[in-house]
Amino acid sequence: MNTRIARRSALALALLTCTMAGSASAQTATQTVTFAVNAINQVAFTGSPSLTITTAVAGSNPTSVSDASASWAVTTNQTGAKITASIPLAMPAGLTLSANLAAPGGATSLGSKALGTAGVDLVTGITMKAQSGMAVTYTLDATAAAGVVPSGSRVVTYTITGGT
Amino acid sequence: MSARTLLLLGTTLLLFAGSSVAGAQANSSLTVNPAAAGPLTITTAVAGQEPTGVVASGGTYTVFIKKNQGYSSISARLSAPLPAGTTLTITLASPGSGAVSAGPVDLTTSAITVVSSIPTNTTLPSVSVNYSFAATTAAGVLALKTASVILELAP
Repeated sequence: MNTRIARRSALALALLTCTMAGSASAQTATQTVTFAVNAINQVAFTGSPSLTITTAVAGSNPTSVSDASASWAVTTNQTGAKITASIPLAMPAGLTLSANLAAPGGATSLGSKALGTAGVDLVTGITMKAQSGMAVTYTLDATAAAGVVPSGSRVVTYTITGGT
Repeated sequence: MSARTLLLLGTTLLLFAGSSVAGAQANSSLTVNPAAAGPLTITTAVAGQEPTGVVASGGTYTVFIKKNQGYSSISARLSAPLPAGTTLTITLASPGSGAVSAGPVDLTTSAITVVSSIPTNTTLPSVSVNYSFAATTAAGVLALKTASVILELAP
């Protein structure tokens, strides 16, 4: 009788040990990954617009011309970024070059603004936006006093100023 | 068969079960080295597009699966959600011998398989772990943060 009980116990022990050897606790490995996003403000313009004043209505100043062939794009991950523009040299007397940028969603275009050597705001309130293909319209105005002006060029510098 | 004989048999079975794996490894194991990766810092964008994602090595991992433990794959998950607008992707290379890498996998707090069909009782080479990190403009500016990536043996 005792031998039979001992035999069953031993058999149970053998089965138990096999079962334990066949299972395992969860095997994990952990890795800590560090990440960050810096302030990003990028603006780009494409196109080489050309403006030539060629005519006038008799009795009025020469007729202004516009060019809307350029476009611009912006990416900012900040709140309240703005675009300003300037030219390195003043325009000849009697000539005014203006720029008008279409605003990305949620931002505000300040409309057509005359460009000078001091930066002028064109778009404000750009918030966490990545958008491209927005219109740029340049306008050239002349008074009769400007006379005939030889072909010239101006590089327009656009600056994006990050918000917060 | 006497009780003493059966007890001896039980002990023998235990020892056998504990040494049946190939090589010297007695249990399934999963290790990743080093314990930290990064920083993955996004610094720029192409105007008009979302910020440019970055990649970084996460070192290497080594896996050994003992036979009959019910494991054949590795899953990955995060211990906590990432900030809104960000994505952390992990890629575990295949260690070969039929193991299959799932390729780049976006990490969430839910476990997802990153390597499957891992052979058992096979010593496999250490192979690469790689991360990529992406953010939309909506994520805003993020100071340095950490994410705990948990790799786990799975069925």
